[in-house]
Amino acid sequence: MIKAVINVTAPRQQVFAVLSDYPSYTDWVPGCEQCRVTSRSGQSADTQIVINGMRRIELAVRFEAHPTQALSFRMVQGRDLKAYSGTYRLMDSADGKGTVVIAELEIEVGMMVPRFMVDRIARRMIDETGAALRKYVATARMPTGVSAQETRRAAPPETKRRRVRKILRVTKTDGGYSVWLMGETFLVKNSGA
Amino acid sequence: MSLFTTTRRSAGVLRCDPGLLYDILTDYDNYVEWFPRVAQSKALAREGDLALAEFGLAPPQRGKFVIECIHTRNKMVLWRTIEGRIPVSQVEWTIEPAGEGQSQVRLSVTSRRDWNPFASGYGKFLKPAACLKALEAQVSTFMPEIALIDVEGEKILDLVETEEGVICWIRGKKYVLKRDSEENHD
Repeated sequence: MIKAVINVTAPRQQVFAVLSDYPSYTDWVPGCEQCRVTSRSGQSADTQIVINGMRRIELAVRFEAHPTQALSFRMVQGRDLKAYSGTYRLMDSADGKGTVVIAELEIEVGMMVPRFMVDRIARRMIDETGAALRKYVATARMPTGVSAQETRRAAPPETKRRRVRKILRVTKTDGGYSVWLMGETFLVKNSGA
Repeated sequence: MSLFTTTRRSAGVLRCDPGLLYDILTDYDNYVEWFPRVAQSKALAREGDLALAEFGLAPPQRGKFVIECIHTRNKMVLWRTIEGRIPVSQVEWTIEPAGEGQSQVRLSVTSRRDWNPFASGYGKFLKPAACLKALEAQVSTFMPEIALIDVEGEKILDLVETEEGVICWIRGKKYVLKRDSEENHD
């Protein structure tokens, strides 16, 4: 399982709307030539996807959406890969300036390709997809269903009450000075002492 | 013990309540102040008992890594590395009350074994004993009466960080220092 963290400077609703707008994957997902929704049921959608990267891959992928929280996907049919699955988890960024997406991707291609090579390919895919998502969200107009008000609304940064704490104390002692600095004590002796 | 991972542990009793330890261990923006070999620290996201944080390493390692964190209030803080080239895969802090005003802390660090003898450099990174010692020093900034109990003499200078700013006492006179950015942006 390859993981990556993608910082997107847009509200979570907007990022989720982009990720769950499957037909628009051809506009931004690197190598995606086709993404056709074949059926929908509640928050679940079956799609037929063609990706043309190092080689052309056709697969049927089922997406399960948990609105504004997460989006998971897994291959349900395909001859080119043994397994293809992953998740996008969305969190409001701590600075209140956007969304943090935790992307996870697992690919299995079978016995003939070494694991490290598959992981390297998955890493490249996830990094390129992350960069493309950032760029697309920054330039794309809103998919339907996301109001302007929602896109403007960014989570305020969490304000945390800081405890009172001591940083520095300098005490004059008989032999010189005692300097206590954030948990460490240093003794400065008088040159004449 | 696994062929591919190794776990190092350390434990100690610190003179503070579990709540203070929990607050320090989940204050990812301020790890830079106390955590060994960390030169930058930033909370990326936080939701309930989950958090994401990014740390930058001090030389000679340099580089950044991202951790995914799961918390149980006043009891446990668990990290897993999800991005970055560091050999540490999991860090688990557990906290238990150990009598009045004291807490037992256990730290367990799980690392991937590095079979390449030339690719070392992380040997001292995240040494549990050093991390506990650093945590103890950070605790003492919130409870200076522990660290300063033996020092007798005239108090020349005191700096205390509070909600209203940094309070500076110079020979008994009080001054309040505000953050420069706050004043300039009014």
